[in-house]
Amino acid sequence: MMIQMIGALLTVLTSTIAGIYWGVQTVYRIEELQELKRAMIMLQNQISFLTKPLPEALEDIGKKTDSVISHLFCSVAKEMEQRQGQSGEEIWRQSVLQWQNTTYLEKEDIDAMLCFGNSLGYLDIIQQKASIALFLEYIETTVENLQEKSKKQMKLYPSMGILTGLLLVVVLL
Amino acid sequence: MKKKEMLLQTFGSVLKAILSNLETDFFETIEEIRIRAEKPLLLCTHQKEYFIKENGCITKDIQKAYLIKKEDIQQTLELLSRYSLYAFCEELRNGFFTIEGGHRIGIVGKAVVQKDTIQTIRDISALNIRISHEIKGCADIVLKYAIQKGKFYHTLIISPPGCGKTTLLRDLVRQLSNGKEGCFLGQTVAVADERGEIAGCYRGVAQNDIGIRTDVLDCCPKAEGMLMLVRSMSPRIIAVDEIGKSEDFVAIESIVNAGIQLICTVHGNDLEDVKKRDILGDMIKNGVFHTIVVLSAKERTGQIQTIYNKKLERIYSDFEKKKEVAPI
Repeated sequence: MMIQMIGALLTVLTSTIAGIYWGVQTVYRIEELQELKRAMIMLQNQISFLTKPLPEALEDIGKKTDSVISHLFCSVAKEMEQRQGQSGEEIWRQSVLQWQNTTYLEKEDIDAMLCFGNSLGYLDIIQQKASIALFLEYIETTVENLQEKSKKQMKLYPSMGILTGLLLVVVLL
Repeated sequence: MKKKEMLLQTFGSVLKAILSNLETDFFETIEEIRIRAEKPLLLCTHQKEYFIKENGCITKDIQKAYLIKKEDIQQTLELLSRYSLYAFCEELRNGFFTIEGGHRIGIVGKAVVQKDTIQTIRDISALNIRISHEIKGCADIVLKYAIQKGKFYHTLIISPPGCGKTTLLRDLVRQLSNGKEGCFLGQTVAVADERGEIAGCYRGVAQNDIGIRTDVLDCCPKAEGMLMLVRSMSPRIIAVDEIGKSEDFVAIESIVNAGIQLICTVHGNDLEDVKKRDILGDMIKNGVFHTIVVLSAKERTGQIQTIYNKKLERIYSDFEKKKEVAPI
């Protein structure tokens, strides 16, 4: 009887935690997108006001923040400084694809980042600023949608977790 | 890093691979690299030009030469601007970049014009890379005449384009700044380097050797630059390249009046040509310049054709020339 009780408790706990885990994915994704937005705004300022070269701007921003985004920026800056002869777009693409598994960002976020990379470093200042502005718009819209979704999910998933756990207990016992 | 490696970093991957196969000795003699979209890659030394095959070998056969693609130009622009073409508005407007090492890259393409002035250049179709060469000691002859009793006096260098006046100016600045044991003491030299070619500053550090007592104002308009340097760096000598605008002469007048010695260069074929110009002609006739050097490129770049003193008498002539120099 005791063992069955403990077993039942564990099952419910596990499925609750699984529920919370799925819900929290979106929360982490939102956090990272906001971090990305902050970094992009910093990049926009560095480019518009200081007209800093891209590798320096990326390295500066990467060093000032300490998040998964800064890892990406630092690695792109490092590749660019090597000046092996690749285009800016190629370097950005390779770095983003290598880095994507360390983040909570989804495919559509990565695609938007790659799209931004197409215009990297080759445009004049107005076009470069517009390109960053476009990417920022994508982030803002996505974050808005996700925040709404997340509110519902954070109520739904844990409850689903508990219910599933209870269901399993009932079925197995 | 060696000069060749540094320069090669400016090119896109394909061009970099081709040019890195060239021998270093040959590379040292190249003065220009001409990159034109859908035309053969050309290398120019002082007197000859060479086509290059895709494997990096020199050829005289145009058919075998490597044809530049538009992507090569695009990649090269990305690399020379360090992926930041947006940061080079001024350079795009003026039509050239200066990169690390002091090399100059001229660009052509579609000019975007607004109210009769060029705003920028788009669709860049050709690049001309002019490689800067440091020739230490090329100013020895000039210094023999320009320095009297250990003091340096105003010097003017007249030269047609591409004859090495910037190389000569650079060596003059270096030697005056460092001094020469037994001849003259090193002095503070200030350089108004409007196009960044004299010092070749990269991230604030002069790539060329311009002397231990030299201060450089990089990429600043000459006239304003000269006056700033007088106020801030208390130089004994100021060096400027390619004077010509009226504001340049206004600044020069202040410098001369302040007792600071001047080295300047000006475009011109010979002394007669320059004497006809308004303000500069008057300065020359009034004996402002203690030494006037005329360069030519007949036999080699940086060939000093003639040196005149303040009375416009010829005090040095390059005897290798076959043609007689007309008397003043």
